[in-house]
Amino acid sequence: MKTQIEHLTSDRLHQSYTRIRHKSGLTVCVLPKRAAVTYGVLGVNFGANDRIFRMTDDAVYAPMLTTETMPADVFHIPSGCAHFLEHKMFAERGGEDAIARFARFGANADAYTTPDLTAYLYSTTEDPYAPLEILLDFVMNPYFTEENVARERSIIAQEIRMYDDSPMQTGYYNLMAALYHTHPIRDNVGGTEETIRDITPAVLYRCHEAFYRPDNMVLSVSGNVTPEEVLAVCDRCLPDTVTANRTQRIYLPEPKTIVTDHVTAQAGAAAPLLYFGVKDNCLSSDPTERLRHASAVDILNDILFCKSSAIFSDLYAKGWINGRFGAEYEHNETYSYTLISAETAYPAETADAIRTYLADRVRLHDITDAQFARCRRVMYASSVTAYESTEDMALDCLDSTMDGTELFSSVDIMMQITKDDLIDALDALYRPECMAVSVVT
Amino acid sequence: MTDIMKTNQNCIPLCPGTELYVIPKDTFKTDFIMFSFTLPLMAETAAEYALLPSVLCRGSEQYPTLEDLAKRLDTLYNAGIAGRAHKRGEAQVVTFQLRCLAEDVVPPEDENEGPLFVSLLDTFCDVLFSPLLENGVFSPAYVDGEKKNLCDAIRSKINNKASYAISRLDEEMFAGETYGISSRGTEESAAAVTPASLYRCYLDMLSRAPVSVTYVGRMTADEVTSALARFISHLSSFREENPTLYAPQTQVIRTAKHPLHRVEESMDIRQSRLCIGYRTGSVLSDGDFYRFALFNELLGGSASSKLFLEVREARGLCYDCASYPEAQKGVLYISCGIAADAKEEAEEAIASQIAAIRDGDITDEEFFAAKKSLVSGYREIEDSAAAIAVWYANRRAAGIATSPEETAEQVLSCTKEDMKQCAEHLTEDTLYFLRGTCTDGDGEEDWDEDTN
Repeated sequence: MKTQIEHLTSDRLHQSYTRIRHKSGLTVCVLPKRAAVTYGVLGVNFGANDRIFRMTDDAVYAPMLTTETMPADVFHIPSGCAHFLEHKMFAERGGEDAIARFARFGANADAYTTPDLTAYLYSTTEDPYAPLEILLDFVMNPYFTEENVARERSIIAQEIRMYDDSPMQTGYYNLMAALYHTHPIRDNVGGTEETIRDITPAVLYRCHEAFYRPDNMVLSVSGNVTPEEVLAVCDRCLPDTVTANRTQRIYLPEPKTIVTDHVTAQAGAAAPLLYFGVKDNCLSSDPTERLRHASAVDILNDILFCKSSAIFSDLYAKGWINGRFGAEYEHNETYSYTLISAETAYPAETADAIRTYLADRVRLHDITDAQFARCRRVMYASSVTAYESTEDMALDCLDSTMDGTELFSSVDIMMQITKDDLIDALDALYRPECMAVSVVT
Repeated sequence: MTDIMKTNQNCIPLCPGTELYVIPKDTFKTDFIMFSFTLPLMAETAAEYALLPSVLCRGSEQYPTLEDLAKRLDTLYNAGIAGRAHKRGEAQVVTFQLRCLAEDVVPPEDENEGPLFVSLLDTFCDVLFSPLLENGVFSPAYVDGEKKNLCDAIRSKINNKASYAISRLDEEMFAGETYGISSRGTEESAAAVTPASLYRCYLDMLSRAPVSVTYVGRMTADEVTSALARFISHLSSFREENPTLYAPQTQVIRTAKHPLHRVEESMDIRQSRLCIGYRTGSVLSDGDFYRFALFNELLGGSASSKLFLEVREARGLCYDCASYPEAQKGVLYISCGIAADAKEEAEEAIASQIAAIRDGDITDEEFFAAKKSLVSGYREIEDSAAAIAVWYANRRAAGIATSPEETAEQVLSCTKEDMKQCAEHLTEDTLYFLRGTCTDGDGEEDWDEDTN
């Protein structure tokens, strides 16, 4: 394959960027912007949710759902693997840490793992290309030993304990376990102290080999860069050809039902924390369809739950909720949910109020033109201000590209959403049998 | 890029005790303006001033409910009025940060009543100067609601064990000092606030607090001044011609006055928190605080720092171990999350890293990395209007005017000898240990299979 280059422009946002399909298979997005900080992120399509895979010829990266018996040659990896790998990628031969290599050029480096991806990033106010070379180099070259893996295990154990002591985390994961029967979104991204005991250098090498391939990654760079020079760095650091992918990720079928509609836990919270979840079964393997649905739900949630919404005013005036109230929506190929969270002395009453509010279809169908127009202004302004920061630009572009769409299409689709789309999303998503509540006290 | 940051800001007197600073910046698609009211930090009024921004943003004459005000700001393209009270040394500063889209990115096809920035300032004036009153004081319902929220927020500190441990350290370390007063007050003082006491504080703030207004964006000083006409006329009506303005001073204690004060408490949690507070002998108004900022960066300010490399990477004792400086009072905090039985080793490891700097055991590579990391942090400020405004507001309060770029130059000129001196001036004051006593694993869930 030859390197392919395309330029993408948004007249609405007065922005443009270059998307390169590099001959190694890597997708590269370059977003030039006059700013102090250049920000680069390399995303690997391997996250905490990827727990079962097999190596086979004719593999595709899209997840395969097993509906019958699991193939015999699959690898089940312990929870926390993607996160452990993220930590340990920074180790280099000779005992050095990749952070120190970045520091030599005045760049900061970091990484994070989500259910869906692992991201390695750097930021710099100096030469943007030298750290980019280090980024591409260290992520492609693992170095794991029994000794360095064992030491990392104790560091990660402390990270796990830190989050275990957070009531917010307890409430969130209890909700996921109430909504999902089999999906690994139930499990802590970092794993548990038990599961990380089973993570060995061999397991890490196997995951790296399976997923850390240029054609399963996206590089996104924003700031004082040009497409030509970024491309030159890629040519120097990456292979000339794509090797055939043999990695097939596997997911167990997830029933449309929920596990339980109510779970409580004690975790020493100052005031009860309420996590109200709605499992969304409108999943699609088509990225544009997903984006359209997600855009409609985002607008809908804003109208339903933002600070100018009827329910927020009502519950706030009653003193049931404080400013820590909000709704967010996660939408992916294999799982999707709305999460409404609140700190409230009245968790049961607040949950009932949300249920009643969402059940009042007549009122919700009567979304006014004024509400809709205000919401479009909010969404438009959010899109414009998102491109103030090179970090936000690079990360937004990474997310949309990894999702199989592109940065500007999200704004365009957002502006095309009609009131009817909101009603459709409302009826499809907010079904009483898909709602669960997690309370932490 | 540095020219803009080096430009002397225009300082324009608006009315008694009120000055406008205009920082020209043409790279943002937003206009940003910050209003800061500086008050003395006092136990009697801390809760009042913590409440004031939220009560004001709860509703005004023209926008009497939260919903009305939120709708108004949504209509102004998601414009923001963010009010809060925080501590700057031993002053309590009430700030309102306003942000809206710059005029040239407002869709031309939309119908608006006038320039967005002026509409936002009008809305802010309504919030600040025409609050919803009942019987001449704030609405009791709004005051009660926000008192409850403030108490919730004070109690919620415990949800985050790292910041909870630091707040306990503060209480212990600054027990007899003004700095020990929380910028949110206490639950007791919050509960004692009345609509009348809050209104008295409000009037006091408008008549006696020095006000600094900082604008960052593309407008000229004249344009900003004229957009502020309504604000100036309202504020002037609260001020005498030569008002007695507050001028809070911070008492700096440069060396710990006693042997290390140790405090240990237990909690049923899985990870223990170790926090140490030091007196640094260095504050922003000294003019050479950048040296201490670099010392902090070298010690525990980044993933290339001594604490991170020794306590986490070499010994594997923790996930997080970092140091944080406080620039007005002259304090350094070190905080890490560890297993309970690693306390002695972590203490020893932290002390060894401070001793290493004191002994001049600093490699060229780590010194270079610390400088680069700090300088990069200063240069990043230029990418955020709020960060620019806060940078200059803090420095004006300390009587200095250096830009981030000038400070970066100063940092680059620092020597290892400077670092040795910073380490020598550091004295341990208080050590707070939150011992985690929970040793069991999972099994805390209490499943309730009943359906509602």
